[in-house]
Amino acid sequence: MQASKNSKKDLDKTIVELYKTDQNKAFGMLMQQYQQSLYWHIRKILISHDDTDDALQNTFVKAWKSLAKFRGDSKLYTWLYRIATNEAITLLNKNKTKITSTIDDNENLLAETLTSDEYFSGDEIQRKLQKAILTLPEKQRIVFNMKYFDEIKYQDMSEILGTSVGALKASYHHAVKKIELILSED
Amino acid sequence: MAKLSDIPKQNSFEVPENYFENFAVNVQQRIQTEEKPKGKTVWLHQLKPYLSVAALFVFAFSLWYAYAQFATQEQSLVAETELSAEDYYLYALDQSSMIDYSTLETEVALEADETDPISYYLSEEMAYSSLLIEGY
Repeated sequence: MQASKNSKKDLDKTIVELYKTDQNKAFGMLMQQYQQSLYWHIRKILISHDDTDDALQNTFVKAWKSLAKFRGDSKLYTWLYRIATNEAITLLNKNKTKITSTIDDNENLLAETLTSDEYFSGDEIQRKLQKAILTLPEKQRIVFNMKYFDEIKYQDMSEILGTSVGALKASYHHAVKKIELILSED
Repeated sequence: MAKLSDIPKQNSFEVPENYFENFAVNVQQRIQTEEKPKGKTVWLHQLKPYLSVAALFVFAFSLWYAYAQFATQEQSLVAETELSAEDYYLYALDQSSMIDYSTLETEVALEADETDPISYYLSEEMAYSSLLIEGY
């Protein structure tokens, strides 16, 4: 585990260093390392594959353009997740203003997207879990997904979302309670 | 009834076939496309600081010019106002006042000239006989 953590850190450092000398190689490594994890992170927020694709492309384009200014004050990993989260939320808000006007409508919209999503292979209980997650407030939903599915550490989540560890723990706790309540209703 | 712990933790979402294989190429193409117009306007970026200074000078000159124009206009207005006052007084003097003024001026002149011999000879009071006696 420690070795994997170190190798991840070293890989991030290599990407940043290579960006200055061999951009093609740096780009390849960045994609290989992060495209899938960031895709799934965004996908759980936006549900729709097409929206996820847009947000993920925006994430990498922005990150690549700003990589020269990346000073290493934060980890490349948390920095990329932060950009991805912001891009996902921006797109989510854009869709909200475009199609719906209330939070409930947006919830329904995401639930409908989930129902009609051809790229969802889960069974009935998985679909039910996803629908329960969609009832959570936006930030609580992101916290739940990051902790429950991606198993991201609270400290890293704190850097990504700009929220204290205590608040994140409380948010996750409330999210779990609410989801369990919904699951127990049927 | 289902508990969260009873549900297998799995990713139920899927992606279209070869999505990740093509994704990097798509992003690279987009980066290159977005960088191209940047290349065309690179001279603009290089000139940016100079353009800013030039714009500042133009702005300062415009302000100065506007102020100068305003000051000139104000001076013309003062001159016009002064001229107008003079015109006004001239206008206020009607024709009869001007005649009175000239008559008064003549009378004063005649009174003053009574001691003058030429004026005396020319005056109506002088008899023609006296002119003859004096050999004129």
